[in-house]
Amino acid sequence: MSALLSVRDLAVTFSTPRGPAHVVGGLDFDVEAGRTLAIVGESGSGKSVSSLALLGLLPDAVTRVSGSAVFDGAELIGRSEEQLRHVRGAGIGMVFQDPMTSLNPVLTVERQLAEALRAHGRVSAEAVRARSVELLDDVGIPDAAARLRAYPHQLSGGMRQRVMIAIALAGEPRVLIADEATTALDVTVQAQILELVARLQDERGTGVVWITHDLGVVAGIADHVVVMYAGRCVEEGPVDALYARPSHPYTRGLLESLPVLDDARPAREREALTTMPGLPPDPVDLPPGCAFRPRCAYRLDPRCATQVPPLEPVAGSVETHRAATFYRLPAAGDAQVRR
Amino acid sequence: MSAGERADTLPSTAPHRPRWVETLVLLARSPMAVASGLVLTAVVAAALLAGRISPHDPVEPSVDDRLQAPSGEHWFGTDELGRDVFSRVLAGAEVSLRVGAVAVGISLAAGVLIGLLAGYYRRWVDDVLMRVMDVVFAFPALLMAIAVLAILGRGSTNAMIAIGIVYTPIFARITRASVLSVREEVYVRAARSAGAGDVRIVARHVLPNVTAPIIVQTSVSLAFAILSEAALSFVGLGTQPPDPSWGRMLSEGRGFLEQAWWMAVFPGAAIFLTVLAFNVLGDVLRDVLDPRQRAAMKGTAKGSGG
Amino acid sequence: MTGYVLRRLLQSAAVLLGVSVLVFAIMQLVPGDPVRAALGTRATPETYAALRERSGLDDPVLVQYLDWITSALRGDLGVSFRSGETVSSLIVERLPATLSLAVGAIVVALLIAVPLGTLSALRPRSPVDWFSTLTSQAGLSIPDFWMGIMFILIFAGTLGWFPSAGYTPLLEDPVGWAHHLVLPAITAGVSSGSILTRFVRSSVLEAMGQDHVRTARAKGMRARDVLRWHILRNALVPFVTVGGVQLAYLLSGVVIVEFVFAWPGLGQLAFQAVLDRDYPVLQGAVLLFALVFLVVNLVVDLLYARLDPRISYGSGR
Repeated sequence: MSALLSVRDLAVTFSTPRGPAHVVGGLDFDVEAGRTLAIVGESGSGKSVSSLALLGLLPDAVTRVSGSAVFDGAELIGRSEEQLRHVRGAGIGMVFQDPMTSLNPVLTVERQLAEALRAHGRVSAEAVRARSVELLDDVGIPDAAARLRAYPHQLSGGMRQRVMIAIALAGEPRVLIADEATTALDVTVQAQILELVARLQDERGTGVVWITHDLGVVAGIADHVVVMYAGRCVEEGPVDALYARPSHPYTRGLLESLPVLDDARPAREREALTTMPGLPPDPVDLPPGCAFRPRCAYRLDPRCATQVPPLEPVAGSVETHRAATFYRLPAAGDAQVRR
Repeated sequence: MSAGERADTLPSTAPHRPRWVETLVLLARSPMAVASGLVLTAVVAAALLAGRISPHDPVEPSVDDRLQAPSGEHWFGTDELGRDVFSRVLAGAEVSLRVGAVAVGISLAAGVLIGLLAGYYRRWVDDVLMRVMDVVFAFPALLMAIAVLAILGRGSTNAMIAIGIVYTPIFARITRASVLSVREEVYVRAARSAGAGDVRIVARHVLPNVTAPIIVQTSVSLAFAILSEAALSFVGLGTQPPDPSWGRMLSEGRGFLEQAWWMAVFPGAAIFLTVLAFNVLGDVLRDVLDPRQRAAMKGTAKGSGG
Repeated sequence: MTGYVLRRLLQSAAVLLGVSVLVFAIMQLVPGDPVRAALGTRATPETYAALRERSGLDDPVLVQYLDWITSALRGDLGVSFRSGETVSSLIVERLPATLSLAVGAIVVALLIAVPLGTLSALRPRSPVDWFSTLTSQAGLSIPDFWMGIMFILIFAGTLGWFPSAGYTPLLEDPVGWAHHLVLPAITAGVSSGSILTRFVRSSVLEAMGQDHVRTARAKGMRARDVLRWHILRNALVPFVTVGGVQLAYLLSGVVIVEFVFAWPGLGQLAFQAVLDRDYPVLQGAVLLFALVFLVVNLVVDLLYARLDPRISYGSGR
């Protein structure tokens, strides 16, 4: 199956007062119709930046993007603002993290939906109205006609996120990028939203990129997983293979600190649990060698300090399961290494 | 980045240069600050040395030299009484700076005291004091000053008091806001629970935290105080003749616009430049004293690794 | 919403009451005998006593205040010592000139502030931004009386494009009205324009950084629609507050500008009343200024609630 969106060697550099910050370096991934790709990493790992970079949504003045991103047969990187505008919404839709701040507080839901509907061509007022109601129905908002007149603050967090999704779907995109789309929500609502996206994906054959720090979420929805650390992919593979045989020490750390799935606490509190000791490196001042080395419990190989480990197939796993580490797992079955 | 920010907002115990030295260094790197510093140095020098460096007597009329255009002898020309405009502009610097400084001193002292009381004690003290400030603030500033001068009588001393009263509420508001923000900080609460007295807490913990916004406001207020003094003198209520005040000279020059443009142009330019310098300095100070901006400015200077 | 309006009305009334006490107190403190000042030294003791009696100056202070405030509430602000006209008629007479100047000045201020502030926010640290920062600093620092005089010197004197002073009522001669208004309006508008420029810049910058702007762009909206509906529309909310304060300031009589251009407005009226110790006129004018200030603030707060739907539902600010 050919990919809807194919990203190769994507790199993003910000110029900061302290010097260039290498936020994303050499990222590859593919998004296929009807499938879900999860990009996993801590905040600051470059996972959100990569998706914003694809659509030219980063501040031009301080950003340099290189590499390639082919969507629907056309290259996105280096395209003009006007050309990218046609891809945004209509080709690739985005759902952002915090539905409170990501919706304009002073405009009604109707107005914000209508903007998305009108962005890609002239539509009659009646058609916009009818389509808006339909979209809100689709994302499971009861009494849609009345909700259209509401302002974002009059809706609950879950309802707001549904509105965000409706907005993202308005342009009938072939790829939907959900950037920490459930992080601000409590677990019950999170489950509803995940279910909603899965249903819409089935109905429309949309390719979904699910960006999250939460491996727990990923297990239930993803087909393929990319784990990012300090702007690079450290491990990727089909979800079952990756969970069965996590090969990068960082992935293992993430999985080990994973809380039980039916944890009822809000996502923000759970997030605290899934972080491991230490901080990600400063993107202005990346350490030589492997960026994870300072936090790594297995940094025994001398190359760790000098070379960036390449992505290589994981021994004993499926072909598409690759990891970027010099550390080699002990024989299968003895994966429980204690620190 | 985040680590650097945190270090900067904490009370620094590291053996760095003292904060004020660092502030000066950052100021010296800003061309705008240096330019306004030079202007202000010139104004202060003129105020201090006017008696010694001015080429002519600023007060004594000289009928033969009436209304002369600018020349090598009289750089800024002469006025309707034959007095040298350049010498009078130099002498006017002293009046402007003195009135401005005393007036801002009054607002500063009164405003900070009121703001501290209101912010620290809250409740009815806060309500009463701040409502009074609201009332003062509800008047157009210049009209308020004019009304105060109507009570106290004309003259530069009363002008200082009038301007001082008008700008008190700004200092009170800024101080109160800062006090409210540090009042509940952990270290202030800790000091209080350790039994430190109010005066001690205010002096040791609260005041140091309100200095930055107050320094900025002082610079900006000096600009407005000088502007207000000039305006009051312009309408005849401030500095009285024969003292050379910039505002007064301007109002005299207004009567001779067609014969002697220089009488109105130069004193006004002096006011403009001085006020501009204080405003620009206040602006740069605001950036330099803001912890976030400060980190960025230091970053630019040092390159990476800061 | 109604509760909010009611609360704000009560607050404004309280401040106005405070202002009236303060105004009254100031007038009590003013040295000199206003009746003597009004009549001159050659009036007979009988005339003098009669005017004192008529003005109620011999009553206890509290009675004087209550008399004054109750009549003021009925619109009766007393009679000018100087001219013998009622204060309210003097104020009504001056109102059109002040309104013209205030409206003219706020238009000038907006014409400066909105384009300059927006452009510099859209291109921070660009030459446009430097220019805007510099001009707004200069506009804030330039003494308005000096600028007025320079305008008269250049545009009225040397070039002869505009009259140097005076006012023509709009209904009498619209062209003359506009012609007379140009220089004073620019003079009065520049400082407000400078303050507003900086404010527009910072509000637009802040609005641009909001998450919902990114959402709007991600929808594929045109850049100019994003600017119009998600940046400027949101920047308008805080802008209204500062704009309102500037309008109140301009309405309260721009004393100095009116003085320079011999503009027969309320500022001049109040200023002349100070010089003449014309208590009733001064009290009336100052009370009016305070009222204008409070009304504008109230309107601004209500407008704020209209522009930002979140306000009306919160329990106050």
